Amino acid sequence: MRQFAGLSFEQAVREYSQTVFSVCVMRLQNTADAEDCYQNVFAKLYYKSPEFSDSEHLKAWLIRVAVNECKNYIRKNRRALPIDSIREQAVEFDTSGIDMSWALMKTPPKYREVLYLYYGYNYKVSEIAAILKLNENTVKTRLNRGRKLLKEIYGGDNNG
Amino acid sequence: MDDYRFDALKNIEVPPAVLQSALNIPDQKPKKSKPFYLKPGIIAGTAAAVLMLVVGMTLFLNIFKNTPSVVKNITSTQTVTDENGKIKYYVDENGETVPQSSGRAGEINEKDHTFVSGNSASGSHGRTAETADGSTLQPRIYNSETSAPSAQDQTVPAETQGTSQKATGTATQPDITEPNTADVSDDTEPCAIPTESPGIPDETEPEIIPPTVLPSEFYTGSLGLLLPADFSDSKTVFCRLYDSGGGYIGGLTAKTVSMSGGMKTAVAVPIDNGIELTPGDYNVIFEDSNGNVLCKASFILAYWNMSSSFLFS
Repeated sequence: MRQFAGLSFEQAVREYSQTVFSVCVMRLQNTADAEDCYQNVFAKLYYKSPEFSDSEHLKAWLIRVAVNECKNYIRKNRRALPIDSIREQAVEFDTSGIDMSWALMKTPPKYREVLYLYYGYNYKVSEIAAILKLNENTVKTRLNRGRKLLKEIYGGDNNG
Repeated sequence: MDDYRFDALKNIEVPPAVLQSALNIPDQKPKKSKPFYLKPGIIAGTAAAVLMLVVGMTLFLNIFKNTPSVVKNITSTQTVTDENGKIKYYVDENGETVPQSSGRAGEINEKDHTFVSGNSASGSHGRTAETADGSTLQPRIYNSETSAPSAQDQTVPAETQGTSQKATGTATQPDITEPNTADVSDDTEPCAIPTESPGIPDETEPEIIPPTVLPSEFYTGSLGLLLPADFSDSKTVFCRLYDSGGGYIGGLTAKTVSMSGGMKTAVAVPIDNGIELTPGDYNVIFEDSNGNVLCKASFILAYWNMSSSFLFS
């Protein structure tokens, strides 16, 4: 039986299902597309069966695979997805509370993914750089610009 | 660190069906991608390339499959006679020299000039031949309506004029057994057979020229024999006609005609001699005034070539 950082495949799926799905939604802003990528991420986990040192390693691997899977999905389906259908299936979050998910979804993807990993999962800059295969300074830069942009969106909409 | 909360996104619910589908991944057979050579694009491309190659090669090879412009007349046979007029050899349809004593079917008895029955079955007088590409060739037949020169263009010896010229309509039935133009002094002249040819057992035997059909410039419905350039105009050439069964139809006096380019021919017009041929198979023997056989051949007269000329050599 295949083991993933001491977890069976079913345990790994149940443990990280929401993480993977949320990353896909964050990146794609669309639940239908996120479901496809979600399936592909766990299919890769099962068939590739990489060695993981611990559960954090497994989680980081799943997030990186999910981000890359979403990028590939966008590249393959860029011309096939009408803008209207994207808007119809877009995820909508409550804008009335303190949760800033709705504002995050309005930022550009390169800021969005850095902000989400930093504030959503409390990853350090170095860890985000490793997951996204970016330079740490690049991550820092994106964090700063993303933060400003997020405040503008959140504050502007709230003020407006 | 500022407090940015993304709990709504982080806690987004995974649809149960999607989760279940992920859990069932181990039960699913992995998708194996087809080998590159089984992909539709590769198959279609390969098929198109093969088709193009075949078509291209076919077109290329067809360039070299033209029909030869000169067709060998395999129906005619040529004989070699000795000083007494006796046939020593003749050439069959394959260009092979056959001794007279071999007794092959289809040979002509020099005495009575009757054809041995069964010559058609033997193929010795067959009129078709398989070419390299399998097509069947027939002796070339020319329609004099389009190719015959005018009477003014032809040089006709005076002694032969009026004997078989169709334009004048003064043809007379010749006496085959008593040629009135025979010249004794010409008896020793060679008959049309050049000498020396490789492949003949006896090197002293005259060369055998494979019979050919040449472009015809003769009168309508005529039988012609190509003569050597030095053939005496004063000599008379006779033409004997036989049906396919060997039955004697009649004799004709062939007119010797010198053509441009040094060609010399003997022309016999059956209708001018009162012989009206109907479509069918015929055998013909050309001989000189001494009875020496110059050529014997066969031809097919069909409805569509009733007005055509046959030239033998």
